[in-house]
Amino acid sequence: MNSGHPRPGYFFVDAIHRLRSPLVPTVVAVFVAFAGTLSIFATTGVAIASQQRTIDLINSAEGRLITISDPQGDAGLSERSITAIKSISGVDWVLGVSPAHDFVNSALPGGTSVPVRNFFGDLPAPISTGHPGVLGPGQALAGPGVARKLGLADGVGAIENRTEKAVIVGSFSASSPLTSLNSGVIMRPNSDTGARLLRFWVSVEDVAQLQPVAAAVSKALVVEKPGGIQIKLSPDLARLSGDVVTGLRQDAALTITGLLFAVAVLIGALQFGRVASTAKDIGRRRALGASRSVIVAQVLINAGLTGLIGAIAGVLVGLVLSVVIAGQLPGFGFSAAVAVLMVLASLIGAIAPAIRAARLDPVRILRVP
Amino acid sequence: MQIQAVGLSHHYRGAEASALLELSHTFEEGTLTVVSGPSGSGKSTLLYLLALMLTPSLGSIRWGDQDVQALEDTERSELRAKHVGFVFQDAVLDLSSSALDNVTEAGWLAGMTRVESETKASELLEKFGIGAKARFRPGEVSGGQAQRIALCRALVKSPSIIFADEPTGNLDSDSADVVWRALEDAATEEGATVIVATHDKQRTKRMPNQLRLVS
Ligand SMILES: Nc1ncnc2c1ncn2[C@@H]1O[C@H](COP(=O)(O)OP(=O)(O)OP(=O)(O)O)[C@@H](O)[C@H]1O
Ligand SMILES: [Mg+2]
Repeated sequence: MNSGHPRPGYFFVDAIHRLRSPLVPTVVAVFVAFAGTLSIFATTGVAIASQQRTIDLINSAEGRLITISDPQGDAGLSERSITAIKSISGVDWVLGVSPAHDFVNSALPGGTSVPVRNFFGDLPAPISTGHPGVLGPGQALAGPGVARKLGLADGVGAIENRTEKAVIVGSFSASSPLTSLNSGVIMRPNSDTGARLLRFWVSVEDVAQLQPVAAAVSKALVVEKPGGIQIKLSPDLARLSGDVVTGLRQDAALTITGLLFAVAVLIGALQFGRVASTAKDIGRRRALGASRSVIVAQVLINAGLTGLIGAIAGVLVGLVLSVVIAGQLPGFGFSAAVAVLMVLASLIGAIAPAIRAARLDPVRILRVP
Repeated sequence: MQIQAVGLSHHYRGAEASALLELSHTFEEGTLTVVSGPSGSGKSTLLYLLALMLTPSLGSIRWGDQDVQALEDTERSELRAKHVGFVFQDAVLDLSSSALDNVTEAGWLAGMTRVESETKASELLEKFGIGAKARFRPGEVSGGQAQRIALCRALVKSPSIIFADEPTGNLDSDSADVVWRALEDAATEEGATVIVATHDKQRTKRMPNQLRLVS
């Protein structure tokens, strides 16, 4: 005794068959989903990738920096500030420098002079040096090419000015945001000369903490004339980074919604055409006992399959496109979400045609030879 | 299964006259009934009504002891899929599928497995002399062969009710004999209720169970 309900295998076999005949609506539907997916990648995916780079840049070393300086040189900014600042949570590193003084090679009194700055605090990550161990008082490191400028053949040797002496024991190279130090020499002060700092840099761990850390730093400063101190940070950067993300989300949501809507409408029109051109098949199946839900399912399966094929092709090409244009891959989540949404758009577009197909009158169809 | 029509009338929407007026008849299980009458007298309409593809304007239809014309479309489709084999007035084949797949489709929709359906379909195509055409599409066979494919499709699910609307319209008299014999066998050997609409006066005369429609 037959059940009167087609088995799942039928839907599968039939769906594959109906992709091939008629072929044209299948090709067009796949292309619509493909083009829709690719458009999302070409606009939003590439935008997400490139704006991700902007965010990365904002979050880079420059963006996480607080600069405390004494422009007049009379505020009395003490090196003791450094210990206090280091203990503030969220601080990555602190480096203080004194005003620069010109030094020459002790062996060449009339030679070229270079700027030498005392530094306070530990050498932070952006400064790399081949010199092993901690610098002692009076020991110094030369920036790239600076030793040669001084006429130090081996890259090491004594330097001096009228009041002080120092020994260059190696070289260093500073990367962002400390590249301004590269043109000179940095030295550990000879003694606690009660040195006044010209400026120091505080790097925070996360751009979002810039404001609170800056507030804590200004409280922790050991200074004679607080009014003379200038604290510079990039207050807009944190906000900007937030704005970029929110703006991006809104733009992307709008673009994606628009594209999905267009895909749904096109697929709907296409499926209406397909239903009309295959009315004979639908009427025949209804006459042979297919229920309305079977017909609805068959139209939706067709739309879902063409949407899926188009979306997968679109994601693959879209990923390549993102790498070529933006030099970055959108995440797996983004790609999967685009594919799923594209299939959903195709299904939603096919709902009305599916209902129309299910409501066709088999008797009228059978009467037309 | 006995099929009973009581006071059956059908009026197509927009039509001037009724296509069928107050017809009452009982179609017995295991018998073949010939429905005859001039063109336009409502033979096809009657078959569509009894096959639950149309809902009558008036009257009732019983399949066995079930009152079927009031059922929901889903249940009517299910009953049709389970029990009814239909040979349509035109063959109504899927032009994009082979003869075998056309026959198999009715089995699928009835809930048979692919293997069951294909095995039975091959047997039937063989039996009606078109086994060699199993892989051909309807556009690649003659009109009479297409009609026989349609007959095989009606028989594939071993239905308990068979409707045939002019099943021998395209056939020469030898082929027509084969089809008539198959339909009679379905009634006498399988116990199916067989209802055949035809203009064929020669054959109608010889049949014991008849229903004449007048326009
Ligand atoms: N959808 C429709 N709307 C209006 N009238 C219709 C419709 N379908 C059929 N008819 C009419 O119903 C009447 C009966 O048609 P039906 O097809 O049942 O006749 P038939 O006896 O099968 O004729 P034939 O022998 O030519 O196949 C005809 O007059 C036909 O014109
Ligand atoms: Mg007719």
